[in-house]
Amino acid sequence: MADGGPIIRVRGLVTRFGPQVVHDGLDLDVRRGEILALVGGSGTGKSVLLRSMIGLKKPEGGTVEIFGHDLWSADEATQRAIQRRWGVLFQNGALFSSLTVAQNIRVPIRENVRLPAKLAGDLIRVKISMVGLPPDAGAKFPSELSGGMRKRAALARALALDPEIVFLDEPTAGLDPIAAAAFDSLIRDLQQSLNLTVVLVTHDLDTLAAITDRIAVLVDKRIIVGTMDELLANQHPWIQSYFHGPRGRAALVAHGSTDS
Amino acid sequence: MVLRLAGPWTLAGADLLATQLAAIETGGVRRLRVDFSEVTALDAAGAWILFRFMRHAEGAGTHLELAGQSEAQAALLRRMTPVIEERKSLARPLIPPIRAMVERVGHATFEFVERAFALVSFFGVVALVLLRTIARPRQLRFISLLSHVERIGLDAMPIVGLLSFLIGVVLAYQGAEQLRAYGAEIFTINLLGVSVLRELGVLLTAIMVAGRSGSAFTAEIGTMQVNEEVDALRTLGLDPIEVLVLPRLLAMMVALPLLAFFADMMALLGGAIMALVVLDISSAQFVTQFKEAIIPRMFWVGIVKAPFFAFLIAMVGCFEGLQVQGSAESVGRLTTKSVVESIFLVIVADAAFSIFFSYIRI
Repeated sequence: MADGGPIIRVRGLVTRFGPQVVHDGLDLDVRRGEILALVGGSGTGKSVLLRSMIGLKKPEGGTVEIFGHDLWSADEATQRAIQRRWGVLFQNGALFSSLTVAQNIRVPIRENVRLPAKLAGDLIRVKISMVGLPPDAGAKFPSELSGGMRKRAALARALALDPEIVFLDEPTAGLDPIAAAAFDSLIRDLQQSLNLTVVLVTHDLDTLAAITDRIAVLVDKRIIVGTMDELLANQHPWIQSYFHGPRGRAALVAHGSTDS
Repeated sequence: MVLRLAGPWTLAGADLLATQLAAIETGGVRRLRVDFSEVTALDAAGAWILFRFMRHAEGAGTHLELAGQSEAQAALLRRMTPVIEERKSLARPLIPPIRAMVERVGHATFEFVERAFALVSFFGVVALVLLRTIARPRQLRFISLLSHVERIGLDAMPIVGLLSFLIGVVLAYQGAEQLRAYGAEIFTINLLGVSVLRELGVLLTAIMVAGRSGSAFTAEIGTMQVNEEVDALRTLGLDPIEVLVLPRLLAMMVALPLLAFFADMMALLGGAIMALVVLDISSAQFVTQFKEAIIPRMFWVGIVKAPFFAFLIAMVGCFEGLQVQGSAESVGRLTTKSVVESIFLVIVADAAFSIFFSYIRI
């Protein structure tokens, strides 16, 4: 795959809600093929940043470049083309409740590619199996699935168009630890075999320690990026208390990271 | 034989790739070497098409050899393995049409009976809570009650007023047209007064309120149900009937008679203006004739129905709201149902009142 600069490049991003400034000149690069986690305290604008990157929230200033195109100044056709190259997993799945899982996955395919029905059906089955759902899940409605299965179904929909980037908003929130760990390793597996770039917002320290390549911490309206080890050495008080608090320690020990 | 793959094997070209692969004849080929070294991109769609082809070839006795594939590509191909067997599993199992029809009729019948029971028992539960609240009036949520009265009654005044006014205009005009043939135009006023006061004022108001507020009840309570807010109320020791249903019910029973009175007046006003314009009946004449034709009892016969209609609309609206389960679609479906049911019940009740009144000769 052609390598080059960062696949996502955020420069000087400013986000405001009324008088309240959430991001002030924020920069962020996401490299091709990495798993990058966004972390930060409540209200630091993790989800807002994610929404700015996927075109749902127009920032007050700065640029978001994806695949080398400026997302917010691109014309509509370019925006559509970019959208086709990413998949988004919303926090609660956001599966269409009136459609079955298979129909949910069919929606993006039908809208964007012309395929014979049989091949489309095969691809849907491929997606269902890739996210580790049993084959009969395709015929079920979202309300008939457990929380973990709903997340997997939503991931299958996000992967429907074989995207290059996948955005995940709190992928393991609301899952039990076993299901969360399974979901983590699923993300890792898929990222490797599909050559994905993954951007995820999470609060789950286990996820951070287990699967991320780099971590972007939102502090002071900007971002500090680094690998786990680099961040552990960082002296910023919030980062210190985040990674060296009791929960941070436990997660790090469990995943065998070097603690300083 | 060597199959040299090149370029992107992705979803965008999936259809073409599948057709081209299908055209390759592998029958009788002993060994097939699949060379990946010039593949620039392989995604799940491409992998699936390739996998299906290779599976097919293997089934025909060809020995396959892969070359030049990256680790990720190999991993992706391996992921396809479990998919192959489950062709039919996407669709829900098909039921023969006749059986499906019988099943539907049966389900619908049972559901109808069940819902009728459920609605009646809901009436009972609400009645109990109402009695309990009457015994201890402090439990009544007064603020909530008032805000509902405002939303059901005050906010509906412009639309109810306008429509009633127009109905008055139409009635007077049509009545005058017909009665003119007998030189009995003056009786237009009798016609207008009786039909508006006895029937139309309250009935039209009830139908409008059912569409406006009954549907809102279902949608509000239904959305709360979807968000598990109703369950939250229960766990907090609050009775949803008391918190959600009772204020709406009582507010409706207060607001609807007032609205119906307002609608009566507006319809009569519309009729009077029309009488003045078309029939040259002055307002003084109108009042004289009106007094002659209409006795106060006619007004009461109409308005007494309002609280009953209000009760039906509020009960159906809240009941359907509490029936909502799970999805956003269910809120929409039950809201429609609630409006249809409450208008139906209002008209049935109106017919029952007519029979009752004629029986006791009012």
